[in-house]
Amino acid sequence: MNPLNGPALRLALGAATAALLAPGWAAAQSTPQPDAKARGAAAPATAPTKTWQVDSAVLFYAEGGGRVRAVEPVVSARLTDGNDVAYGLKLTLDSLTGASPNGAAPQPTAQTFTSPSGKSTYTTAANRAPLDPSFKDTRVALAGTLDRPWGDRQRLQLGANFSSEYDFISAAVNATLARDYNNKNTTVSLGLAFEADQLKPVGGMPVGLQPVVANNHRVAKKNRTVSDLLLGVTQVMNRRWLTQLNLGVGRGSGAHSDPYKLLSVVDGSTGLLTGDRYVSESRPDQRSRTSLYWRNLVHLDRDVVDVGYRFYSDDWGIRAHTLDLRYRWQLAGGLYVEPRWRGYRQTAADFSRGWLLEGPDWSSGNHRATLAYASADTRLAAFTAHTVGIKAGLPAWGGEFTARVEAYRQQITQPAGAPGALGALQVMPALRATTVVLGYSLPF
Amino acid sequence: MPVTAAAACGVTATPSGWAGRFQAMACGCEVLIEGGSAAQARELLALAQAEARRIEHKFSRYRSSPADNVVSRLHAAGGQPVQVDDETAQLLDFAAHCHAISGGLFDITSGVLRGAWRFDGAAPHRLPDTALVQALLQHVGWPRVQWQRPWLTLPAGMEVDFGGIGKEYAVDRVLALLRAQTETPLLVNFGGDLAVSGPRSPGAAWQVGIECPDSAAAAGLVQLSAGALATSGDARRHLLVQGVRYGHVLDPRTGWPVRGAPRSVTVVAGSCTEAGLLSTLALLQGPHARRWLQSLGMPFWVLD
Repeated sequence: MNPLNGPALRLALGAATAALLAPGWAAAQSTPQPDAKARGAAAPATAPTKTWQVDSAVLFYAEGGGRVRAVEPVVSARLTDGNDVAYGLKLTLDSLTGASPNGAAPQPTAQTFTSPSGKSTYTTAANRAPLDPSFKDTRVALAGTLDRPWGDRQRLQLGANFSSEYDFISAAVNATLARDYNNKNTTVSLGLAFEADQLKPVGGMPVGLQPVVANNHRVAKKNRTVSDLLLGVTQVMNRRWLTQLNLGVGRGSGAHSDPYKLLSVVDGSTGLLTGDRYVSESRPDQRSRTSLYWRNLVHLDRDVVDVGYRFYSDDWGIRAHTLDLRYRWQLAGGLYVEPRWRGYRQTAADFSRGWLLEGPDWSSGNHRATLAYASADTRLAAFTAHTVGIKAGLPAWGGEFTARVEAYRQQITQPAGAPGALGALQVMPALRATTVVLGYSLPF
Repeated sequence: MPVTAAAACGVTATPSGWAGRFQAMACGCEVLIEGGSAAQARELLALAQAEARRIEHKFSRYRSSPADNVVSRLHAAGGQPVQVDDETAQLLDFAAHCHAISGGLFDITSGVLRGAWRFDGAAPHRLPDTALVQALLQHVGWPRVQWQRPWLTLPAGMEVDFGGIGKEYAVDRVLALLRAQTETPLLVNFGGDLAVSGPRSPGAAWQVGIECPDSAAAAGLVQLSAGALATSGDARRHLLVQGVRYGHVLDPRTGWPVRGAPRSVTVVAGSCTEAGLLSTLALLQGPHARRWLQSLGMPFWVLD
C-alpha cells in the first residue's frame, strides 16, 4: 500500500470525491427541498452530475498441443447521468489462430485433407486426431446498453450487439424489465432476446451428410435465428445471503451445422477409412434449450462465498450440470484474492458419433446416410471438465487492477464400440486450455 | 426597513447581496448570496442551516443518541456488523479510498488517540505516556475494520470519526443544495473552509483572506472564482515541551504528532472535501509539506 503523490494523488482523490458527492443517494434523503419554481425563485441551475466508468481488459487464451490461441482486448465505458440512466458501450476485438479438430477419426496412417476450395491441403500424422490448422479469425464485436429506471420500482434494460468475422455475422437485441418487491428484497425480472446470425464459410455451406469432395454442391450462406426468454428472481434471504434463480428457455432455428466439421467413414471390422472417406456433418435445424441457474452469494464477516449451479437441457439430448464455486478472500487495503473451481459434466447429443460405419450408417454405393443427423464435434460429445483459477484485485491509481488465471481440463468419454484400429486410438481429442485476463477499471 | 426585517431572520444586506450566519459544527458558518431578494436569501439560509445541522447530527462524534447519530450507533454495536445508509456508505467508501491512496496517513479510526493527547492548552504541557499511546494504537487502523458496503463491523474498542472530512463535506453538500435552488452566485464558508458556486459576478472573483493563525491580520488574499479552499492546522492547539513544538495532527501509524509540520496549510481545489483532505495530508508530510504540495500543482499557502 504505497501512498500516491503528485498528479496521481490528485486524480485518485478527484475520483473519490466525485463518487462521494454524486447525488445518487440524495434523492432518497429526507431534507425538505422547497420547490424553487413554485415560489418564484430562480430556476434550478445545476446540471446533474455524470459519472463515468471505463473498463479495459486483455484476455489471452491458449489451448494445449498447439491448438487455438486467442488474444482479446476489450474496452467498455459506462456513463451514468444524474437521472440514474446508464449508457454503456463495449468493444471487443478477437484474434484467433491455431488448429481445431476437424471431426475426422485418427487412423494408423497419415491423412491428408483438402480445403473446401481445393486450394490448400494439410496432413495429419498417424494415430493423431486430425486438426485443421487453418483456424484463423478476427472478430469485432460492439455492444450498446441502456439501463434506466421505469417508474418507481422498475428498471428497463435494453441492449444491442453486433459482431462480425469474415465468415460469420451476428446481430442481437435484448430487453429486460426488472421489478422490485418487498422493500427491494425481491427483484423479479423478465427478459427477451433475439439474435440473427449469418454463416458464410469459405467455400460455402456444405449440404449435410454429403461426401466431402471439392466440386460438391454448396450454398454460399445460411441463416439462423435464436430467441430466448429469461425469467429471474433475486431474493435477499438475510443480511448475509443473496440468492438468485434464473430460468431460461430458448429456441434456435436455421443452420446449426458446423461447415468445417467432418465425419470419417470407416470399415466396421478394420476401423480403417473406406468408401467416401469423409462426409460433412449434419445437425437438426432446430434446437430448443432450457436452463436453470441458481446462484448464492454469502457474505461472511469479510469474505464472500459464491456458489452457482446450472442445469441445462436441450432437445438434441444434451443434459449438463455446472457447479461453480468462488471464494473472495478480502485482504487489507482493498486487495482481494478469489480462488475458483468449476466442474462441468454433459451427456452426448443423440447424434454425436465418433465415425460413420460403412454399411450400417453410410452407404458409399449411393453416397447416402441411413442417419438423419451426425456430428463428431467434441462439443456435442459426452465429457467432463474442470476449471481451476485464481483472481486478484488491487486498488491502484484510483481504479482497480485485476488479474485472473484459469486452467481448463476436459475429459471426453470416447465413443463406444470402436471398430478395429480405432479401438486403440483416442478418437476425440480432449482439450486443455489456459486463460489469463488482465484488467483495469477506472471510475471518474 | 427591509434590512432590519431581514436581519431579524438571520440575513443582513451586503453592498451587492445578502449574508447569512449561523452556528453549526462548532464554528461560525456563513453563506454569501449575490443579488436576489431578502426572502430568497432567508430561504437559502434556512436550507443551508438545516443541511449543516442534519450532517452534524448524523456524523458528529459528540452526539450520543444512536437514534439519529451514525457514529454512536457504530460505537454501540460491540463488534457486531451494522448496516449503514447510502450517505454513510459513500463517506466510508471515500474514507477507505483516502486511506489507500495516502498509504494509511488518512485514517478515520485514529480518533481514539485523543485519549492520550490533550492539545487544549492546559499548562503544564506534557507528553503522554508512550505505553498509553502504544495501547491505543492497538485500536487504530482502517484495515482492521470490516467494510463490505453496506455492512460495517467495527472491532470492539475501535472508533470511527468523520471529523477529518465532515465539515468540508458539509460545505460541498450545502453548496450543491443551494445551487439546485438558484443561479445566484454563492459562497459557503464553515469556519474558514469554503466553496463558491462560480465567479462573484461575471469576470469578478471572490476575495478570500487567509488568516495568520496567531494574528488577526490576513496572511494572504485569494481570488476564488471557482472551486473551494480549506485550511488545516491550528496554531493554538499544540504542545510545547522542552522547546519542541508538537502540532495537533497525529500520524495514525505512530500515534504521535508529525514533527516539523507547518502550523497551517491552505489548499485550493475543485471541492472543499478535496481541499481539506489535501491540506491535512500536507501537514502529515511534516517538514516536506511544501515540496509535497508543489508536486500537486495546486495553489496553496503554508504558514511555518
